[in-house]
Amino acid sequence: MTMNTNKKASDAKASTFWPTAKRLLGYFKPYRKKVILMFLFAALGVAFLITGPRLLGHSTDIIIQGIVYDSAGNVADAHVNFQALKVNLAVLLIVYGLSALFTYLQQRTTAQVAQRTIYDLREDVDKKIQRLPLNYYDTHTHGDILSRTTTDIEQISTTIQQMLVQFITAAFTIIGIVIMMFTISWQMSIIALCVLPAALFLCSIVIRKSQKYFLGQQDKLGTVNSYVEEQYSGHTVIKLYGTEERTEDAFDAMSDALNEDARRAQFASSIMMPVTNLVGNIGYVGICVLGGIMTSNGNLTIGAIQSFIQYTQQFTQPIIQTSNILNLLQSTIAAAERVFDLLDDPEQSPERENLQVIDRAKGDIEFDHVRFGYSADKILITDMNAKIQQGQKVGICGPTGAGKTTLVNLLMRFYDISGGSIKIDGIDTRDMSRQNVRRLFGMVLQDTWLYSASIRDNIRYGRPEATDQEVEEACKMANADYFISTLPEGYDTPIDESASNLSAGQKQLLTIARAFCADPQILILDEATSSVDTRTEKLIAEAMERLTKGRTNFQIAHRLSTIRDADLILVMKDGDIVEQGNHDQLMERDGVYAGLYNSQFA
Amino acid sequence: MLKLYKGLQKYAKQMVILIILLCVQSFALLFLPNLMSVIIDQGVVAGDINFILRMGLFMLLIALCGSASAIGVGYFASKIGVGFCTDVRKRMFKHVGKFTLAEFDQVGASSLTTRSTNDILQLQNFTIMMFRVIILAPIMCAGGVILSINKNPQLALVLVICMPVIVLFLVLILRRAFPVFHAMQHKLDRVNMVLRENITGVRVIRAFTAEQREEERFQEANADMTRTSIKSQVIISTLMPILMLIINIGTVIVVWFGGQQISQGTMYAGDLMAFIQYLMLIMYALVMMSLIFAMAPRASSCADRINEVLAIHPTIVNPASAKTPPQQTGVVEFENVELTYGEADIPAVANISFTARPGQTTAIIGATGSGKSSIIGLIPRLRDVTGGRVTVDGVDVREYELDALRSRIGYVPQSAMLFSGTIKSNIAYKNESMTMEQIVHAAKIAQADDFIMQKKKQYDDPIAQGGTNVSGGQRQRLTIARAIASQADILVFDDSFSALDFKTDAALRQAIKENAQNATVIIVAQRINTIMNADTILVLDKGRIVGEGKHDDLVKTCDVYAEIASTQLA
Repeated sequence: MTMNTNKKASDAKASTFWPTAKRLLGYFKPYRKKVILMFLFAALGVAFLITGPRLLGHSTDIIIQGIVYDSAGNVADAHVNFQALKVNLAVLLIVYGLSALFTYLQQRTTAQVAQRTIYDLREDVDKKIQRLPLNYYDTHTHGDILSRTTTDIEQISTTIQQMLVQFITAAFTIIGIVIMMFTISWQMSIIALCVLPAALFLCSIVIRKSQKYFLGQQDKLGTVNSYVEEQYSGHTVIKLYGTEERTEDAFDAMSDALNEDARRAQFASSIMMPVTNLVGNIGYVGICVLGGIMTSNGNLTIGAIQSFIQYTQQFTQPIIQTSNILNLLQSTIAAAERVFDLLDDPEQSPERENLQVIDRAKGDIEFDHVRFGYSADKILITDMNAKIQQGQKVGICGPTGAGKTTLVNLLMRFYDISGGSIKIDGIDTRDMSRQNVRRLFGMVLQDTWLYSASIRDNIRYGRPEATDQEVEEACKMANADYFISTLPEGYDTPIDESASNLSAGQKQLLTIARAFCADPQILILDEATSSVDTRTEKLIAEAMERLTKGRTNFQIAHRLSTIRDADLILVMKDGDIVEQGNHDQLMERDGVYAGLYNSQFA
Repeated sequence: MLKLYKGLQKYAKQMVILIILLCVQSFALLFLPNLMSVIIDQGVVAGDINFILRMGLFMLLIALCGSASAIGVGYFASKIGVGFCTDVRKRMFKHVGKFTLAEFDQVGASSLTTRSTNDILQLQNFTIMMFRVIILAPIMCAGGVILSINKNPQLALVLVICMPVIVLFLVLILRRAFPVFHAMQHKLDRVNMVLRENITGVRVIRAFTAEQREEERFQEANADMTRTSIKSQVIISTLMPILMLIINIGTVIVVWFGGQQISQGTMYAGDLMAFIQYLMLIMYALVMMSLIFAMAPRASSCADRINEVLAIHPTIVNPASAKTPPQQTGVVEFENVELTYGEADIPAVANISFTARPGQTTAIIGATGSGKSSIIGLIPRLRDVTGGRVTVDGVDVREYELDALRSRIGYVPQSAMLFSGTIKSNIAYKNESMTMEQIVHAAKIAQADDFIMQKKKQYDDPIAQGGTNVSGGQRQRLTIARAIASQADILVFDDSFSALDFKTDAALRQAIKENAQNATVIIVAQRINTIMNADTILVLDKGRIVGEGKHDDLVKTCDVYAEIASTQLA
């Protein structure tokens, strides 16, 4: 199946509708047995449900047959067979009971199947998240990925069960009722059946007309929602500039516009039910009249009319449901399509065969004619060569936007290089598993990602088996111990989702402690020092000195003072490495590095 | 939810019309079986085909009338439901607009966003269905009872007994379902949170090769939610069969006693048929209602989340009677200021006293978490002091009209936040009618003019939401230009030069000095170069001022400062 990754249409296109629907249905496969049960229960429930009116009609006939009217229409003689009536009604009670039971069982089974299916879908999505190449995250906004993985799945989850229950029941009910109708009277059946296409036709008109308003509603809703998001995240600025009123006015105007379209859309969709009902009622009247005439001619019993009328009334219900479902189906399939788009995005390239394993690296790293670009037509690094010995300190510097993180991406195999090779202890990193490569590295990233758990669990993130003592040791090394001990619950203080209970510096300290705890052989410090104050920075530098002893380490620096003593400095510009050497060599060269250095310490 | 629905009062008139229309709709529905019984009892028994046709025509008319009212119901339900939720949406936005940092910390910006968008939408969908379907059910019940009493009071008793039984089961089931639904909502939040963390933290997760563990963490949350969600669905699944069963049993009873009455000649067969159909119509109304009720717990938890926000009273509000200083020069004074966050034991900052004067630059330097941002946030009242006071021109900031106070302060927050629009609209943020000269002038001071002129559309170049389409340094300069363009007499920079290279940083400070000679300038910084030349430097350590003076003195007298200086200026 070909999927268009950039497709953002809010509705499923006809060409992809069926493949997507089929694929969604594929999620039911593991629950084949339950699905069969679900159908079985539905069939039984409906069978008993539609037996009801027939038996009820029979009861009426039993009563009426026992009564003889005189010419004035008064009861002349009555000997109703109450024994037969009693038996009939008892059977009816059982039928009703069974119908209720099977309806319940059907709904219950459907709930189980539907929810487990959604569970599987969510699992697939989460697994996919772990397997997508980083390129995906660098080229898609978090908002887009999030809306596919949360809102869209929720949309599917809320509708799929409703659709399953109603669709199956509706289908069975319609079939069952048609059969029952024909056993009573083909003439009346034809009248009743004329209702069906008429109702569906009218519904499709309503759906088509309302589509415009629904799109309008969706569009305006998007505007309102993104405005809310933006203004909430910039609330401090609004307050500081006193623009509350203007912001409110703008929001009110957007809300009013949404109000108009939403009202129209809701109204349009609400017309469906009365219209279908009207068609159904016209059928009802037709049947009353025709049935009345036929009974007068003695071609039909009164009980039969009664049953038939009940069938017509039951008939419109599934039709309304079906048209509702068709409406829902569109948006559900569209949501599913967006989720499948994500699931179909290419994953990381597969690992090579016969992988080599390094448990503990010495830390020799070699860049051998490395060539790389984020896209094939835009090569950034043309030919990079460098040899780094175990325990050396490598500084990476350059102006903002020079692509310093690119090197990290390559070292840790977040991206694969396009040519040449990167070797650790002489082994090409592509001959190792990604996980193996990354396990050799410890890293303090620019964005201090912490997850919602205790401080302790965050610190042992890279090495879950670390003991409490080791965790505390790591914190002492990172100078995080002091502030942690001042927190109300110390190491057990929970970090909430946005870690808003910690300052930027504290978060940074924790990520440093986390790297300490993981005890890697190669370190990457990605501008770690930029948001830590200089005093702490100095203490870290000391601790780092101890830690980096015998370990290869890369330091990405904005401030050149931190890398002046590096064994090798890589100077980057426009994505490529333009100079390399130690501080003195680079100063002597009087190139980019010297320029940068002089501007900082002028 | 009821609390929110008080806002429906505004729609009282429309609601009255709606209910009248609902009555007409249900009466028309119920009246059809009535006419049918007439056809049976009078037309069929007498064999009067003309009568049957006449009645048929009449029934058509009634059906038409019923559907017309139903369309009217749809119209008013949409109008009220959507209108009501628009009101809530506006009210919520306005209310959140009054929140400052403390309240945002309490709920979280992302949660506030969900509550203002998705939760309101859920509420809207439910409200509309409530008006169209849920209210219809009791009206149908009442109508059915009235019509049946009219026809046959004894048999009507069956209906009258059925009603409370239905209500009882309804209450019993929903009472069990609601808590489970609420639990599910929480668990769903957790699933989404883990997912969000997996997405935002993808680099770290991979760097630590924790993919497997993250999958397990997700699986756990997901399984937990699925269990609860199945449980809630199973409870709701009992609702419809039970309702149907009760009505069906009612039908059987009606037929049994009806049969006896017919045989005694006190009732017509057509009437019995009408009865059976009343019951059936009522049953369908109830079934539809129960389907919608399945939506109720979700809507109610949305309403709760909305109410929670509306119930938060913003702490920073305008004073009862505002003061204005006699003279506006821009003197900012801190008098023994203390600030304690939430329920923390120790204040974040304490004993802060200093004066920042017009024409001078006051700098604050200190360790991360030493309380620099906390201190300056007190000036425009982003938070309020918990001890001491902050004055501007001798008047306590808490006694100012908020707008009057804030319009005097050009404040550049640490995170460079831009709004979607153009470069121009962002710089002229305070006052949309700002002239182009003023905008360019501000941009020049902020050292932003150069890069702006290199943009394709220059000052009209678009800015994406959050300013993601410009670099960090550019974003920072634009926020500085925005503050300068506001022509405030107090300029506050919260570490706003961090993404700038040293050259730009120096040029910018020089330009500010030249152009805003009489302004009070307060700078918070990490880099010593940025503040070396300030008139007064405050050195902060763990929330206390440990040094105050000029660079040359501090290097000698203040250990903390000397240490910073030695590492950065080596």
